[in-house]
Amino acid sequence: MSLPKPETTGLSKPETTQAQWVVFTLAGCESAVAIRQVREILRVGEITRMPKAPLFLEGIINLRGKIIPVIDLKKRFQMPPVDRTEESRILIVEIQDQIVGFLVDKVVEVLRFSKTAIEAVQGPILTVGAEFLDGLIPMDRRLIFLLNLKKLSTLDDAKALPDPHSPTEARNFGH
Amino acid sequence: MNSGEYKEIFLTEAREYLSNLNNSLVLLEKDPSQVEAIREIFRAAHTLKGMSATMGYDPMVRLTHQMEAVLEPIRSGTQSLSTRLVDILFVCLDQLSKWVDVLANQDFIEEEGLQSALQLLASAGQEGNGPGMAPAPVPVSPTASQAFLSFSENEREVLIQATRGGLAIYKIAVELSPDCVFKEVRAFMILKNMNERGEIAKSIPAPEEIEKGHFSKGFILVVVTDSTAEQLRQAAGSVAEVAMAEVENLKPEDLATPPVTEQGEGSGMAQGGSKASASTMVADDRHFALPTIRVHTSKLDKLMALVQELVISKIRFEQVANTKALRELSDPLSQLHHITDELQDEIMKVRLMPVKQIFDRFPRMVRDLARNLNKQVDLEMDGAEVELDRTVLEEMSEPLVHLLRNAVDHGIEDPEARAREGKDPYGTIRLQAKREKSQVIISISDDGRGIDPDVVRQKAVDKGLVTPDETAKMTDEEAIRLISLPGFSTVDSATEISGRGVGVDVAKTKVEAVGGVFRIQSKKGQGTTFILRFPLTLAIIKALLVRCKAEVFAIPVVNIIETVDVTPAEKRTIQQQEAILLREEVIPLYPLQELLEMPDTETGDASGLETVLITEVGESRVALRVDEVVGQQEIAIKPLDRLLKGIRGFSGATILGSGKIALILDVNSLVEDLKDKRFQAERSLMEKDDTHADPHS
Repeated sequence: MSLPKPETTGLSKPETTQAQWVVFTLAGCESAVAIRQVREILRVGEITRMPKAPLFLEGIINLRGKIIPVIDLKKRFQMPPVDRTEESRILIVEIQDQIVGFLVDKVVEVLRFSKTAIEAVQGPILTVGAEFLDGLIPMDRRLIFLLNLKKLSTLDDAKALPDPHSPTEARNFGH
Repeated sequence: MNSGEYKEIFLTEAREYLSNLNNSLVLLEKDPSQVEAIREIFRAAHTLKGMSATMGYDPMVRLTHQMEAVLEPIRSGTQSLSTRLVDILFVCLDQLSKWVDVLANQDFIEEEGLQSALQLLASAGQEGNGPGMAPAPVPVSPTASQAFLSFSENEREVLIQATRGGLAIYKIAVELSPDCVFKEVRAFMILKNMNERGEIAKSIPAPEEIEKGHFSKGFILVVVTDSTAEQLRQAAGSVAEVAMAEVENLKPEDLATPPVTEQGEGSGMAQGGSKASASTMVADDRHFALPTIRVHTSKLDKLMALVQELVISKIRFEQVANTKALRELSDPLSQLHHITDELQDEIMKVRLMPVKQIFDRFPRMVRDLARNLNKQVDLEMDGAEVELDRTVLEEMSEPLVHLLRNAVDHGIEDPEARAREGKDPYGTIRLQAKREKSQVIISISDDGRGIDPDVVRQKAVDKGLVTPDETAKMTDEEAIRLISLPGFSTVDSATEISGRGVGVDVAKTKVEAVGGVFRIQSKKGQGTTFILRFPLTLAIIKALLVRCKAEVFAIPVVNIIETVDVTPAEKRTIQQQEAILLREEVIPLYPLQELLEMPDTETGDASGLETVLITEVGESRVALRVDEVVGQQEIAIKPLDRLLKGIRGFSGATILGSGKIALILDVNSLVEDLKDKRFQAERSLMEKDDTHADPHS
């Protein structure tokens, strides 16, 4: 009998080869995603707001004729807001046929490290729930969060964080 | 081409043949004397055998081989077709379909099911286990090779009549210079000149094709006229960029020459002046005549997407040219406009497919259903050749299945009941497709028991869907519409076939989701008709662009009845619901910003006039207040992906000429959601009043 396929979160598969990771910042926190999931990195252009959407859906963009949702990870994790700057970027990632853009403050660098360097996460860190993290990379004085893009590529926020807003309060649209 | 592509072709073709087999067998079952149906079955089985052998799908080869062997004596007329054999053949077809489905996901099939099918077949025909030699296929008539400048009996008649009347017949071969840019313009000029001098009796290609520039280098006209050959030559040659215009007088005996064979040399055409150029034209035209090629649908989708991009870029060019007042660009841009329009049109046409594609599986489905329920049902189909965009066709299939099941299950009575009512024990279901402008109308009618509005009223009250007061106020028509409410069923016991009566509800939702319209008509005791209207295409639609706050949204024009400016005097508030009074009709009014849950800020200008769209939502009308109507234009619909589909109220998005995105509104869901929200708010308010609980802060 064959065993069920392990979830390809990266943790369950022991691997010694070095993978490449795109490191970026979110309100000062360093986070990373595997480079093979990143299709491209865009400068932030016009983002069209989508009414009735959860707050953390920043909006939708036109990527060469395709409509791509853009998620603001800071809003998702209820991190302090940071104004958009020249360095703000949209990371276009592809997860299981789904193309999603993630708004980040700054793309820092591409790092290479083996999967053995990844430490498991027990509980939530700051405002980030453990289910959104594939692990942590401690480096010198840095701590890099490895994000689980699959869990983040959804608008289903019921499980994410307790919603501090009362449900009757209309969702804000526009700034 | 790799083996995967071969398999794709095999699967598509096998499905087609199986669907043919099923339909022919249903026909044959009703009328065993249908010789053509037997031949068709035999042919299809034989072809399937050959195809499977090529692909090495052994179990399929063996089964189809045996089917052929059993069918042979029936085809040759030495044996008649028994109902038992029909049933067995249906079992075999199901087995073959099962294998085809399996092959879609893997590259081999198991023998499972083969033996039992073979045994059934062997038990059916006495000679079934004979040598089973492969019989020769019935020869298929060769496709008519395209005759070149041949005249039908009729055409010849008319032309000969004309010569008797003193007119002459000329054949004019025109060739445009190879670098001609405005082919269709030149061609149009030539046609116009010819029409001024006489009558074009025939042309290759057809006149409409010539006018569109659909020819390679040139074209041929046959003109009946009183002008001379020289006059005609000048009339054609005077048009710019004409490289050659050869005029030849045709005698009635020339017309009598039989159709030219494909071995071009020395043929009718080449009798014309320039042999070399004429024969190249023949070759090109023959190339056009190639029957069909198979193209994967994803390639067509890609092509369509590219054309949509092209249209958007074109609009941007036009906008730049307009704002910068670049007059030199206006000519090339109008040419570009013309070309993109036509390109879009042509690609749309390529994507059209006959509804036959989905109708074809219904005869078998209805037969099986009727059999399970011990009913006798005839399915009559009409308009299977009507064409629709592929995507609409795909969306249409499920509602039709639900409604047909509904008709067999709930509509048609059993034969005894029908006999008691004085009806033909055979019930009839008519499935009809017809084209009306840019819509396709599909109707499904049965001559069954019809819907009793009083039963529906009672049932709806019992189920708590409406109050007795409400039903009392309803007309019979309105009451009948209640059956499309979610969870409604007129039959008490949920049958295996139509589930819990979810059919009508699901069908209605599906039809409306693609921008279609759903109607029910029914007369108690006489039958029920479902009418479905579908847009011809989902790819490009006409939409009204409206502004709400800073954003622009698109609303399909098919959903809009009119736009009106409303004064405060025309507004009413009924039970806290804003409404407008339009020609004595009270229409509920919703501000678009509230539907979209955008923050409420002051709207309306000082005059107090409000811009309101009257839209049709399902069966009822709804007025939408918008900030401004921006304009009407054709928009290319971009689908929203899985993630965004979770947000209700939008059927897609489009990219405007400015590159900005406009969401396409699904007014129906937006209104439903708002009603829900208001209802919830009201209820929580009532609960609060009841318990005097502290307001949640």
